[in-house]
Amino acid sequence: MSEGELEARAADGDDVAFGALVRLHQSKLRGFLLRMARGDHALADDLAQDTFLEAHRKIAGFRSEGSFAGWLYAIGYSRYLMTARRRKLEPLDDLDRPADAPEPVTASAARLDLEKAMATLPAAERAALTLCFALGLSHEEAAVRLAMPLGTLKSHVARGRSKLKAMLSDWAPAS
Amino acid sequence: MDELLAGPLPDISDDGFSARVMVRVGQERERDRILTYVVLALAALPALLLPVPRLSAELSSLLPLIASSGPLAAAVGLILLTLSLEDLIRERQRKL
Repeated sequence: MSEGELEARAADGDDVAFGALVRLHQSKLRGFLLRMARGDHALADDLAQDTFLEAHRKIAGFRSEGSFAGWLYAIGYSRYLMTARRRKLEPLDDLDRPADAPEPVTASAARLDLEKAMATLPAAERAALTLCFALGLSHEEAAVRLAMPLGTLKSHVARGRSKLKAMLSDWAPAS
Repeated sequence: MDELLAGPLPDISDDGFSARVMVRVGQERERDRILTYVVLALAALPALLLPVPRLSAELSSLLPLIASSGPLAAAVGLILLTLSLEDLIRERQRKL
């Protein structure tokens, strides 16, 4: 059964189809929320569960404008923002200084360092970079999903990217 | 940099996550069902307390009076006419 058929069936109240969608999207959604939660697995999984529950409640209203995955990321992102506001996890907007202590980077540790550097960015930049790069959404769809104008999204991407570049080059061994 | 950013997010194994979500979906559905029954029961409760025989007796004694009153009959007729017209317009708009 195609993903579109699963979505249509789930929208008609078929819980088996919804379960298949959960299995299909859980890894990427949890990965996205893990990055949003700066590596806090428990928080990311709680948010992912709540995201799927909210999606289940609202799926009858899901229109196929954009992808189902993008719709899930939008719910997950707004859930993250609500939690972050409540728990005062954000903002970390002032990031002119590089992350904690600079460390040398080896090729195998590059991803780990990317995650560390990513964790220092503000939520909107983390979300914009993750959706546009790792999750492959177009700038237009990412802007819709993050509920921000296209120009704002593009500046978040550009700003986040240049901060990461600066941080990762600080960490890179001097050649 | 772009290559690093575009790398896929690490794969996270399910490990019962989806099953847990579906358990919660089932619990939520059950809770909604019970809530609906409770609301219906609460809504029906006042109806059970109404003095139905007395009300119907009074209504049946009032109906001939309403029917024989010209202004009242005209008002009821106007209300019915308005409702029918509203239905007609709504139906036409739906077809458009």
